[in-house]
Amino acid sequence: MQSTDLSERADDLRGRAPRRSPTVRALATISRHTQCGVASAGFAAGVDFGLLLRGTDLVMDFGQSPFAFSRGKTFEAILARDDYEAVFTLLREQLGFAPSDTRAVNLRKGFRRNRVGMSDRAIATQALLSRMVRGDAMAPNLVDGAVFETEVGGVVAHFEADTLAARSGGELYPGEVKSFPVVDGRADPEKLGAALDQASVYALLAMRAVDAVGGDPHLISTKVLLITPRNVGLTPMLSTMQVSRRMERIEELFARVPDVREVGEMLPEGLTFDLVAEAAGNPDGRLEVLGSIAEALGVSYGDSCLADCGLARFCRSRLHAADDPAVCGRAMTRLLPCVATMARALELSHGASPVGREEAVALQLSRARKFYEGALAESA
Amino acid sequence: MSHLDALMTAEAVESGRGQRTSLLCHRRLAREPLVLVLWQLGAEPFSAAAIGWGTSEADFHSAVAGDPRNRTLSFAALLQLAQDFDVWFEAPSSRRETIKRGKRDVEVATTAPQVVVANGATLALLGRLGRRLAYLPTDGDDPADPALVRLGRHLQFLHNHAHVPGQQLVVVMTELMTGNWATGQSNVERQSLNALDAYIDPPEGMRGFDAAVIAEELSVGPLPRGEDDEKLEPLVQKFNDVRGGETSPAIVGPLLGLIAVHYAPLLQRAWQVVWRCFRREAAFEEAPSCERRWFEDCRAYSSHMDWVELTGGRRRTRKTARQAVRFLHDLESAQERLVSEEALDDPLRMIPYLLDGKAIRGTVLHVDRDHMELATKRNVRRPLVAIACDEPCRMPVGKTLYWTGDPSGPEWRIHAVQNASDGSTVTVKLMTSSPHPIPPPGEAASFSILNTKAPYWRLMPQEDPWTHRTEEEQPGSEHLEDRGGGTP
Repeated sequence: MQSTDLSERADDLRGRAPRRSPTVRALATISRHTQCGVASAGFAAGVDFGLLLRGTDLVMDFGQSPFAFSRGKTFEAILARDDYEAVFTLLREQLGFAPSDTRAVNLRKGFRRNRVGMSDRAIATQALLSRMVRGDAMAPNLVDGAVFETEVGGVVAHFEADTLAARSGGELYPGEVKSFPVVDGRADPEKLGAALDQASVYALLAMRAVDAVGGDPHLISTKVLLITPRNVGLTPMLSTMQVSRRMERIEELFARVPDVREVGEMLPEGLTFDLVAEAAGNPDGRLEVLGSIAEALGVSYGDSCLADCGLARFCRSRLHAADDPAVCGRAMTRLLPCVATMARALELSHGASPVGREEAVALQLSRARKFYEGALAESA
Repeated sequence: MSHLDALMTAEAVESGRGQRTSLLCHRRLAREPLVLVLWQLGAEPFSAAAIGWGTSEADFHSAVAGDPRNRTLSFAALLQLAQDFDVWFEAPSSRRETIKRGKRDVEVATTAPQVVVANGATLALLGRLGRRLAYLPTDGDDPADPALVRLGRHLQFLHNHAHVPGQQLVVVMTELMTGNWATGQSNVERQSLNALDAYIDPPEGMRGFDAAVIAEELSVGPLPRGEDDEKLEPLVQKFNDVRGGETSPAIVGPLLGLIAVHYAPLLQRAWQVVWRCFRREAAFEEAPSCERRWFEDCRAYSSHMDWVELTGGRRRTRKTARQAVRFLHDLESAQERLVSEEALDDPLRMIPYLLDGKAIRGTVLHVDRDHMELATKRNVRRPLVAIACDEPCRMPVGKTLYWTGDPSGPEWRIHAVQNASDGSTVTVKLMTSSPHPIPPPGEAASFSILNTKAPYWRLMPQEDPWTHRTEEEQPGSEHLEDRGGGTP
């Protein structure tokens, strides 16, 4: 089978490097770094960049506070209490669910917590879905922890959806549970955007799954549910949001994720993430291998990398060693096109003769210096 | 960002320390500001686990909540802050002077309080705390202390006022320093006050980049690092176990010790770096137009205090269409005046305009005070000034400019431009015949698009147009408390 071959290829590339299955979060991260060769390769090969550089000075700390973690857990527990009564109340009030629509299935329980378990959950989800779309009177109205199986970059991936809600004989709503608050009808726009991106992935995958069981994909609503705490406490509230535009973007993204085979071909023979992860290897040697990989695949370092990429500090120190303007942010790269180093920018400002396409920047930099020195002389 | 920033950043990278991008300090820094440092518990959005405050570095006060997820405990810590903050914040309001605004007399406070915080995230947390506290019921069962509600309303005002460009009631250290220093860091990295401070002034023998890489490991709040909270978690667990649901100060007070010890170094770290940065900026001379903006701040503060006196200070959480239009207009005109004033005050801040060709600088060649030309019906005086510039002029004839020596004065227009390979002669025309100061021959002079005239007054229709009316009531302006489960 072809996809097995590819999975093996991914395993080869990854070797002993820590594994990360392509979750929705990982997909959202890669969507911000599609220009970066190393990030794409890492995603395709399923390497966990957050852990890859453990044992070196350049490891990033994305450690989450245990309090933040427990806030999310507590909120989920409140929702699941008494057979999801809180959720059904909201669904009744806001989406017109019938009082008898209270059948919930929890797929987070009773399965093994590994790839096999995920696969089983995907099969169970498929079975439940086909009952839901056929209008089976006893089909569940709420599926907690539905799992969709799909191929990303040639590798089978499992995506875990928070909720899938269905009115008897009606539409299905994919939903996302988040523990950030909504106050005065407003939420943190960044967190909200991330949540809606996740929900759009579920909506898209649910549509494909419905299609696969022979149902009408339009049964999946493009209006997704967002369940968050209201105000200060943890009382749940339900918001609905139209995400069809986001779904289009996600669909494009799925198509753009590089094939693990292509990534393998771009790397020189014998160069894999396995060598980077080698715990026994000395840190400098490991970073050197990663440097060669970066050289071969190309990186695109920018301000946002530090927020979510585990290799950001590595890239930053590599570019700093090269005195690359990109270290100073994307704005600097835009101001200094065709200027290889910051030292060169300084030379040009002092009147060094520009080479090739440096000319336009050189003029601006030397003018800036002239005005700067003029201003200092004036104020002295 | 301009090529001046690129140049100064290159200098910063080369020299391994921050480079100043302005000669002056463009915000008034008070002699006795209130510095506020905060730490959250995890990502708990509406409470503070630890608070530090004071009006000088030696005058450090602090409070810890124990478990801020508990409403009573959280409010007990905030009440300690409120008792100091309210008195300090309200004091300047009692000294007023009378100012004539048109036909009306307004009583404006002669000075105003200034709050200094480390970063934008701290300001955002103050805004959320304000939102939570400002609407608490002070009657019924379990009433909130009125001091807390006042604190909430003051914080809400400060958070709102902080949107006004150039305001000086709230100083966000990272913003102030980002505006005044070039460092070889991206904007994301500059959000860490510790890293920014380390780059600007690295320890002896260290370069800015390396110092910043080490410094960014240490947060100054309000969001804790995962490992800090991991150490805290067992302490909070034990605290909750021992108090067994009790919240009275007599029982909880003695149990707070270990948690206070955990937060002491974190609060101190933030405290010291904020003060160090504050002193560094305050050492620079204040820009002349800070005075005008400070007066605006005093007016805003006074009207807030009047509102508090009159009504208790309750405000809507969401603006009406009319309020929103006015607010946006105020922000826009404040922004326009701010950039003009900063550039006119500070030769370094004028450079981006020169680079962009939006300003010219040169020596006055000759002045023709008696130039006459036909304006609609009769001949009028339109004095001409010819300036020799060492760069070609990129602006077209007819462009409106202002003389930087009289930026609130009348308009000038470009009358003629003669570009040569090594410079240009630009003739500008004063657009009024009434006597006005004119740059004398032989002197240096600059003309730019910037002026400091008072902004236009936005006229609004008597009634909201139908496009801006909402039938349904906007959510909000309610208190946020909720006794639903989940709080320990």
